[in-house]
Amino acid sequence: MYARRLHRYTKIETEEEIEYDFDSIYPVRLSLYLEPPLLEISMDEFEQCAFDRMQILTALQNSQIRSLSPEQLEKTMTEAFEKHMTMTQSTPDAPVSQEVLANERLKDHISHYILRLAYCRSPELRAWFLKAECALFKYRFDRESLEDQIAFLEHQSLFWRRVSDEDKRLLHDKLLECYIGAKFHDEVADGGPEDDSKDEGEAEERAGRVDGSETSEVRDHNPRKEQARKRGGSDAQGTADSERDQDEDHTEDDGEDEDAEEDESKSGSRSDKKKKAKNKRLERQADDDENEGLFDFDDDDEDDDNGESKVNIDDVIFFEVDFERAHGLVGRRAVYVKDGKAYVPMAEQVTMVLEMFRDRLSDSLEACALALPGMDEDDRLVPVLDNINDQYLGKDYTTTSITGELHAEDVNGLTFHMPPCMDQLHTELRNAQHLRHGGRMQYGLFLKGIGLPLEQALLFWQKAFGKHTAEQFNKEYAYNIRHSYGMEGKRTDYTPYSCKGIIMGSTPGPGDHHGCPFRHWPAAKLRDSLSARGLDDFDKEDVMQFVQGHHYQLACTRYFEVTRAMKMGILTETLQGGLVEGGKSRVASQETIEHPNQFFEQSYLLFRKPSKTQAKGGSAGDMEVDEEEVKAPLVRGGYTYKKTPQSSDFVPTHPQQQQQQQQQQDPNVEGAIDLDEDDDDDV
Amino acid sequence: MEIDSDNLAVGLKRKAEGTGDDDLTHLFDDDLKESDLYPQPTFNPWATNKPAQLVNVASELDANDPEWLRLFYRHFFPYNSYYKWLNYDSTPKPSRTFMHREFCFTLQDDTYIRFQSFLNQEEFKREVLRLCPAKIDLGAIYNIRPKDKKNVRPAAFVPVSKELVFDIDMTDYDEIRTCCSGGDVCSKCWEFMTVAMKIIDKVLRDDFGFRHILWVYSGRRGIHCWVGDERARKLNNEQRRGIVKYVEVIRGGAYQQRKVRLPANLHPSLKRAFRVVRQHFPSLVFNSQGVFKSPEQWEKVLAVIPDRGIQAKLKALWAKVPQRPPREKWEDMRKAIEIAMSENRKKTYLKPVLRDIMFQYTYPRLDDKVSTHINHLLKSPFCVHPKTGRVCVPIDINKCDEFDPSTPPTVQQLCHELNSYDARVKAAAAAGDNGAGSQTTTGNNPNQKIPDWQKTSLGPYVKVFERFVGGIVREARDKRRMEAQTQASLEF
Repeated sequence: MYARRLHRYTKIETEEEIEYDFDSIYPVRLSLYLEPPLLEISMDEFEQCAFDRMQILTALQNSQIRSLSPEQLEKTMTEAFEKHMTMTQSTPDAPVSQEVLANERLKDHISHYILRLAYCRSPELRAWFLKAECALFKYRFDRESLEDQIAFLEHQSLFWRRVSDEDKRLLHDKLLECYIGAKFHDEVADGGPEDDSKDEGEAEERAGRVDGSETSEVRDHNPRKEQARKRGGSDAQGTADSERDQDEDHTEDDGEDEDAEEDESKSGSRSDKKKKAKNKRLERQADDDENEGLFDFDDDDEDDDNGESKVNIDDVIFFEVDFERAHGLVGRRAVYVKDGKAYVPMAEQVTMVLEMFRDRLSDSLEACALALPGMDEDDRLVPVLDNINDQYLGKDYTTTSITGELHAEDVNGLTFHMPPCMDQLHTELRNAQHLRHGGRMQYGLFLKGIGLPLEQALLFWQKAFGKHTAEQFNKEYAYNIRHSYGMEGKRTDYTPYSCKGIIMGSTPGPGDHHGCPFRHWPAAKLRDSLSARGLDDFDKEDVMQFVQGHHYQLACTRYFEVTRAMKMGILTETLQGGLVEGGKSRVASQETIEHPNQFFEQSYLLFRKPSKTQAKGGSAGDMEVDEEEVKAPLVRGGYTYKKTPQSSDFVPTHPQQQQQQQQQQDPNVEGAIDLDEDDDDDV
Repeated sequence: MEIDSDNLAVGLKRKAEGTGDDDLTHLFDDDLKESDLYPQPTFNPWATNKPAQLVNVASELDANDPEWLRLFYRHFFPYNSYYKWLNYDSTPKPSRTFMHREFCFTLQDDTYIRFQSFLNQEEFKREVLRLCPAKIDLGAIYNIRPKDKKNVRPAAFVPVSKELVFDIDMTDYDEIRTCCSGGDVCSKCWEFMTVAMKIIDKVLRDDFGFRHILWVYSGRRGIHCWVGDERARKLNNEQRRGIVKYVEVIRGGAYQQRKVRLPANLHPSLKRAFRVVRQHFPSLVFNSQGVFKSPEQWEKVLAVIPDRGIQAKLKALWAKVPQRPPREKWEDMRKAIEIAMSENRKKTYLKPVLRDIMFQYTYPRLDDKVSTHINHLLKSPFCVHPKTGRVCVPIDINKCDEFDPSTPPTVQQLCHELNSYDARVKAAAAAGDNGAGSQTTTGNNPNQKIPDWQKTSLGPYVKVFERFVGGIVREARDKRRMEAQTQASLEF
């Protein structure tokens, strides 16, 4: 369909005859989408293409949010691709005509560019799209065969140069150190004890896990890629010993996320040899230390050779590239850097390609945003684009608030409804009468989101900053507050931070109190804090389990369920898959907490009615169904995405009907929790 | 441009409010920063007709008088080399790099004027002398002149390049330093800054291949680093972040006890850094900071060890003999960890702990936002710090061990030095009239144009700066030459 039209614009065209050279249009399946496609399509096709790609992007994103197991992910994605955007590959067994392939690839191309248009229009949209497209690219790249991956790489003009054998000999020691360092990094970080050190270090490396689309993480379980690595690592001969060792290391690398949890079992099966060598090294080192003084650890090079002499980089291909092009690898200290050049081993090429994809897309989105106003003239386009990106974006909690207008003095009374990240800021603010910038932003925008208008916010902060005089306050802080309400500077109405923003955002430095407690606090401190909030050991461990699996939002969701249940007098033991009591879901939050304001609103709505009528939550939910109760599920339905209109349009008019709806929803609830448990088991 | 001076202040205020701030985080970066400035909003420096008669005025002024600033900008600010630096070219003709650069002035009543830009050195100098800003910040180089920002859509005003900068502030060390806190600094804790300079300078030169690096004392308790290489200026935010993460080792908030967690096999760059760490750790932690001298402090160290048994054991031991020398306490820790590891083979994770503690107590701590946002402002060299009155002077990296934060001159000092220099010259000239020709050539002719800074203790610092600028200019010249050559060879 599309490909023949595209041909009209290619240069080979002559007036008399048209030759379709489909093969040359898209020789490979993957694309960096560097040039826009030039052809005419109808408005319907335009919308359809956009819609189909959205389905793919959201399917992938949702799978990652819900932390599906690799098999489930594979299944979901295969279905989504089949339904919306087939991307076949011709094989000798099942040949596919070039025209079909060209059409599929062109659709991929077109739809990508349409969404660029739709999603370049604000920083938030751009960030979302960039993330989604990178995840998709990575997902697809990983699933290509090694030959196809290489074919793809060869079609790009890449700016790296193979390190000559001569140079490699010169740099040998340093390259080896980096190679080993990157490889063994996890082993060290994960070896920590159970008590209070499952914290920052390794979590930092994996922060991406929350949304599963950063380039640095989620090394998928893909046998093909392993091949690729193997090939990069130890190509042909090497001794049998080193070959095996390499393999083991690759396996370990590939499962780096999981290592934390099952270090035990795995390392058990790993060669004891390595351990022995290590211990030996330790002993030797201990001796050295005696001799050389207090502070010699493993600084001297000979010592390292002893331990890792089995690792051999003779067969590893290294590429020399300007460090700017490998900034992600540089940032992880995964490569050797010298005189502005980064030395990248073959196996890390994937990372570089991804980085490149990301950088280029990011740049083009900015460029697109600049160019877009010129395109506004086509008045057919704007409504379509609006329609595309209206969908599927989470609620941003800027305009509406369920509390009505709050007053500064109301805030204290609402702390119960606040998620831990905000509660800690509130407490700190009360204690220290001060918060640093990160905390002010996180908490201030949250308060804005729950309905604190500007004047009240100024009042609230001024009171809270009791140590400062009014003059000081006005001089140093008032501007910022007005700014965040869109009343200063470029007048952007800032939106409250989402969980993802807080978890992925700036890591709190010394003296900072912002961030997500589940993500940024050390385990011991978190445990204490959970106890202080009345969680018993059982519930606490429940929450901590999610934390240790790096599912911070699930941990928060669990925390929500448990604490709300306690408040309502429901036994937490009965909390199976959300809070269902008597077939009725009262506290279950069903969806993962994705926004601090979502936490607040759910909690607030939950307790609004009982506090009015002084009824106890546990008994109120039994038979009498009144307006308030009917409303609760309604609002719940509206939280995540607008893609399920039926649940929010559904207005139960009769208790029985409501009952039905609950029953319909319950399997979902259970299903969702099951999935998470599955995931943990896999891990 | 003549402006009625009475209305000027009002106008400027309005301007500053109307001038948008691109990113919320730029202004009021943090509360303790140097924004709590001059306390005299009533003084109007441009309304005064007082000629800056150094000899008379300097003796009359009290230490807080903003008139000092005026004297500084008139006599001591090294406009020539400053302009050459920001122009990044071999010719004196103003380049885009200069004309499109954002300057931000903080006036003495705390008014910010962002997005200033100047066409040439004279305009810049005139404006500085007119406004006498308490602080000058440098921002990015934009695609258009920042002054014209209002003429275009906000989206069409984008930063193109800027030096790669680092900001290291002593407040980030508060949890590990015991001698001072907050805004104070002494020669004891300054060693942290020395370590930071040594380590980061090496990374920038050896690993990233940068050549034009300027270290500047921030005037009170920190240091700034400016990397002027073309390649560094062209980095985008992501690439800057890559470098920062490459350097950064200390992570974690107030609740995080162990802030360093490095792999057993250090990256070559960190290995090199560790040599510096090891060299300074004993003097810093054992001696000047006395980290092992009070229970409160040593418990913080113990909390880092991820083994409750060891923590309890050492706590008990040291409680009995609190005066035990720090070195021996360190040895205790080492032994305890060794024993724990030999008893239980699974505890090899304890091995890097001591090394990581050394990093945590010595390694540089960066303010990463300053480095990773291209449009972030950073205080310019040669400002006068409003609290200490000291000039933000460049630091010679080769002699960074000798730098003492209490030695950079204050403006008062400079004025006195200049006065006594002039007196000396006059006396010498008088003597020279009699005794003929025995004077040095510079001393001979008081009218010969020696810049005033050269007559004072600011001189050596400006020399450091000129070396840095000279390198940049030389490179620009070589580049031009190369271009001319290739052009010529193409024409043949």
